[in-house]
Amino acid sequence: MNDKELNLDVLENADEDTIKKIAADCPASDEEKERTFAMSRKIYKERTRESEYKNDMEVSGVDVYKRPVWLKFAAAAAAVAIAAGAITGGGILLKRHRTQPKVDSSEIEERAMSPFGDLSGCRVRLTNAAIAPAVFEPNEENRTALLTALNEGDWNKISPDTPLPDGETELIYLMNGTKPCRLTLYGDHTICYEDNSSKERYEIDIDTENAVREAIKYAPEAGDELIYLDVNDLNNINSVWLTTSSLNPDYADVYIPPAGKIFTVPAKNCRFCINEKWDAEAAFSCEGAPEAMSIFTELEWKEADCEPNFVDDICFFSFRCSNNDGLFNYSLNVYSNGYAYAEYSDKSTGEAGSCIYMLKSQDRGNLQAAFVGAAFAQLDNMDPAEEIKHCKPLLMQISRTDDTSKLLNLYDNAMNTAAADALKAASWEALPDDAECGEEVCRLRINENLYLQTYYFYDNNVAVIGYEKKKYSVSPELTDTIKSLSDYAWKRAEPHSQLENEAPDTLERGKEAYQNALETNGKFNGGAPDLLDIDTSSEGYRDFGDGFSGYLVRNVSSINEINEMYHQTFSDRYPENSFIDGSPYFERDGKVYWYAGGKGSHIYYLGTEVLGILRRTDDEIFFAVENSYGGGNVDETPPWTEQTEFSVVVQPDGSWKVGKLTVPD
Amino acid sequence: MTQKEYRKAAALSEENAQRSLFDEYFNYVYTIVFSRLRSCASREDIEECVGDVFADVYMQFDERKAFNGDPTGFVGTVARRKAADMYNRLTKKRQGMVSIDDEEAAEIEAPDDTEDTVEKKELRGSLIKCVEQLGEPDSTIIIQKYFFMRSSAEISKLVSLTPEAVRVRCSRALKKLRETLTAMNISL
Repeated sequence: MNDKELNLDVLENADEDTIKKIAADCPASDEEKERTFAMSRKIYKERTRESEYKNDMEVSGVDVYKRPVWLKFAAAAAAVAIAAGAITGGGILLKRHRTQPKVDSSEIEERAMSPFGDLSGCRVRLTNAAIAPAVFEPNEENRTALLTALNEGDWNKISPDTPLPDGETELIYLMNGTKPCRLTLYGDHTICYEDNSSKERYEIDIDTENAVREAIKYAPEAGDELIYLDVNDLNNINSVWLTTSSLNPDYADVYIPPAGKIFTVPAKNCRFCINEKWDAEAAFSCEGAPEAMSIFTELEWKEADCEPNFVDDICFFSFRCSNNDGLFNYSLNVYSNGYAYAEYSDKSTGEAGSCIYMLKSQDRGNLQAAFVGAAFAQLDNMDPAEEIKHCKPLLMQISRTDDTSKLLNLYDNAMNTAAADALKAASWEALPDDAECGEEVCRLRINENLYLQTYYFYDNNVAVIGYEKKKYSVSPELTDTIKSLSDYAWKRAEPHSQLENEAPDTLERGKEAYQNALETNGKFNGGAPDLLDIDTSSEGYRDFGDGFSGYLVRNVSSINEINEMYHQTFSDRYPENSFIDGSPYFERDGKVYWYAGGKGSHIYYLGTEVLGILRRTDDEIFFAVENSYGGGNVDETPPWTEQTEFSVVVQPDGSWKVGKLTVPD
Repeated sequence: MTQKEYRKAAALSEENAQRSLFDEYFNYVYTIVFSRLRSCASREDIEECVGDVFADVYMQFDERKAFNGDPTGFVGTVARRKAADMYNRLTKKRQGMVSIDDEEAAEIEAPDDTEDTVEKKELRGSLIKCVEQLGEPDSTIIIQKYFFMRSSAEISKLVSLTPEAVRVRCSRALKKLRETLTAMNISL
């Protein structure tokens, strides 16, 4: 470099990162821009007028991809050039010549394209049977060789149903800009291409295959970097990219559907609630779980064709994120009926948008699975006080203090809250696995929105939690509080054979009503054969392709009609006594379909007994029902009971309809 | 701007939609094209190529079946290929036929010079970092002058300095950059 000049030729034809940095300094004046825009319009108009115009810029695949003829000439020319270079000697090869630019190899590489676009700028990760479940990033030499081979190969599309050969496969993950894909190389000279929306199979020529196989050999001595994935799912073409040595874990990429693009936000500002509506205090952080957020790019965000009433539905997933200065905000709520509402605003740019989407049931399942996994990973490291803050108790059961195998459902919200508050406020000191436990004095079982958790309390102030039997030292106050709650709850739940001023046959009628309730409930969930005309033939079966499939119910045209039948036995006082769209009936095109799926049963369920009458209000009588469980003939599991409530609503004419019913598991 | 947004906007006004797309990606496309053609093309050639890129992008957005997400990669691919086409056209015009006995032929690079590619990438990274370390407005001045080959008068408008001040700052920044590069054993 001389004193007055600086040669920045090295920045020519630069890589994407460099281009983006330099682009910030783009010097074009407004006049230049205006001129160029006018030119682009002019060219566009000319071309759209040309009826014979053929688009030669297609980036994605075509049915049968053939290399353009010119490329063969170019390749031949390159071969001559190589020969010329070799003859003349290597020393002169590197000499730069400014005024007469060289025809370098990258020229040819740029012009050659695979059926899925130009791969030359792709990032590459590879794995095979010897490396899995880890992946490796090949050294630059091999990366370039691989991408060149893929770009220049002869690809011939074949049926995706072509039988797969036996033997090992090589997996090639590519990230082309922000678009990931995977190539699976088989031993029969074929490659399967997959991205988030398509899957295709190709035959490749033997030279390409050999070049690919050579380039994807693991060579740590040459600089290949082995990466152990945080998410060991090699089938997920997105998650493979989430673990990187250079990834800044403080930031996360979040796909914002209404914006149609990815925003990078501090990971600590990404939070979610699973199996419940948004609750800022209960929300889990996405920090340390960026892989869960990759699911957003995998879902099909299809705009809904109507605006549903979200209030009546259950929000099973909610997500929020923002940047540090609060100028960017995004919220997403996903509802159990498939609808999702997403809204974002970026005050720094003035961008904002919102949209209602209809998600496929499979996508909803995947979304839930991804974030439940992320939640569990965090729960594993939380003590019970933290855990209960994040998990919404849906149903609590508390045992007797003198017999911990007898559990009682707590229906009183105040008692649920008192128990949860006691757990949250307590101090939990982890104990070694072999810590002594005294005599069990009470058991608390909480059906949380994420899982069922059982807390065992012992008289030496040790508490044992969950299937993993983690042991903690707790304060005597906590143990005493739980015991007091138990005594109070059980006292209120004491059944009577007869109440004052109650007809003597009330208990017997209650037992009959309970049996009738169970039968009717089971019948309707099983398609109510004596009331509903269900076409269970293949003609009656419809699969709507969005997770909804079932048999046509011929004699009704709405779920309301089914509810009218159901309400002959069940009171509509309790919302759970009405069928809603989707469970187990759903409406489509003015018709009703029945999901042909029965309720599962608890393998330890032994039987149910109506113990007695609990209380009576003006028009409702409550009974105590005890469900018995145990290993029985299955295994050695010790027996236990669960006491629940059953009620009947007294009608003006004195007849009964079923009120509260807890169907035994 | 996604394809979907573009189509929505185009339903109201094609020109406004195209302008929005153009405004969003102009710097990116211009830099890709300039980066490829700076050694062989005039500014008019570069403008023509950029216009050509956008014309193709408009057409693709009109005709191409829906694709989701950020179209930056797609726009970049079109820009690279268009620039490569023009590069080829321009250099072929100038080179004419090259005899393999010609001394000039020796300067045509071997196609598999991957070592050079790796070195270039590292060099580019280091160079950009050194330029960024100069701070503003010096980093902009250096890039404008030596990469975009703009005159001091043109640069002065971008950085709100007089042309003279640009020259002085440029000279000092160049000296500083040279020292840093020498310390890093980088020779350009």
